[in-house]
Amino acid sequence: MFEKKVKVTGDAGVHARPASLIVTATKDFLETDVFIVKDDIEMDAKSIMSLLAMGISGGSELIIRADGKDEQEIVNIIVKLFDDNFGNL
Amino acid sequence: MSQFQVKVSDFYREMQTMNLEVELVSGQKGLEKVIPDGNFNRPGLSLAGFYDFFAFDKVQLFGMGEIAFMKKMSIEEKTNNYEKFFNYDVLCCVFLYNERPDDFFIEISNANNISVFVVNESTANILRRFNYLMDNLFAPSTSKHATFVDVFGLGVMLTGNSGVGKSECALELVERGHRLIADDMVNIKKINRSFLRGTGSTLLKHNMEIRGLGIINIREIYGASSIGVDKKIDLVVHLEDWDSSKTYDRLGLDDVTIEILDVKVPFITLPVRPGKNIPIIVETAALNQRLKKMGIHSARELDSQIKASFNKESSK
Repeated sequence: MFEKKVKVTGDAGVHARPASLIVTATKDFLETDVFIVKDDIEMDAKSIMSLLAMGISGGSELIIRADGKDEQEIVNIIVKLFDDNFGNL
Repeated sequence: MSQFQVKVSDFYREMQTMNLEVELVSGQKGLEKVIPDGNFNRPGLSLAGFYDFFAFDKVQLFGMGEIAFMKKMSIEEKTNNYEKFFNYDVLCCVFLYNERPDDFFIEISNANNISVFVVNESTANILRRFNYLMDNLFAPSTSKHATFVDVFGLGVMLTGNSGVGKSECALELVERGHRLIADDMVNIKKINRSFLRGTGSTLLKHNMEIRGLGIINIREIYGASSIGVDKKIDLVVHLEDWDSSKTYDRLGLDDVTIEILDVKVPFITLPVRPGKNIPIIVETAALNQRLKKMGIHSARELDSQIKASFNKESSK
């Protein structure tokens, strides 16, 4: 298992488009479980609705967690999405 | 399992959702206080000046006695006693019988950031309702990545990896007249030792994501009869891609369960393969579960019939 902490930059938070970017990023990692953890609640990062349900607002602190093949790679990809503020969507 | 904190604001919100006539008369800032447990205290002795064992960190209930006593207090007594009372880090105060506390009490509670509520209810009634409310607030809870559907009156939770077809299965079930409660995330509360209640996310409402369509709103498309708000979890159906190396249950003689928050819930694993009609199997599983609850166990009955016929033959 590999995980990294990330802080949501910008005010917009994870709304529909950022959520879809995260889900799209995970689609090739079939043998890896990817999770986003907020306030101790772990949610599947491969599901748009789960991500939206978490209500990740700007400034939230999250843990990106992956377990399985290429776990480091997918965590870094998602952390980069957050760091880049999803291309300022 | 997530460990969350219950705040005075949650207590206030829960009172409102229980349709209690409640009003916050002072101490807006006190709403952020954390409630340590679901107990109450009657502050009569403290008001009279006796502060040994004062349970200040509980919800303070002011009933007829306390209110009458406060009305009889002189200005000096009030200054003295209220100061002492609010010297403690009191959690919050609830005045019953729709009796507002005097202005001095309101002023001093405001200054100390302690929330004061006025509720139009008798003490006997409120204790019963508050106990229920607190049990609810302090119930252990968790969230699961699952879809939750009311099938023939039974709460059926569909679990499985992303993309296995939980939402599609739920959509077909809705189409067949069943009710969607939650898609993709189910909040679960343990009400008592054998009762788990599942609800959907308040943020998502009854939206659903179907691959190829995107986000759709089930309530808007299928109407109010197609949705539910909460339900007891009666059955968990786990969908997984067909694994030819795995043996799936062919008899159903043994009842398999899964533990959620230490509660055992009947559990079925369904292998998914193209062309298999999963919704109809889920429907049948729900009906079968209903029969089991009524004491009718198909697999066991067939088995005992067969055994009985053997006995007849051997006694001939």
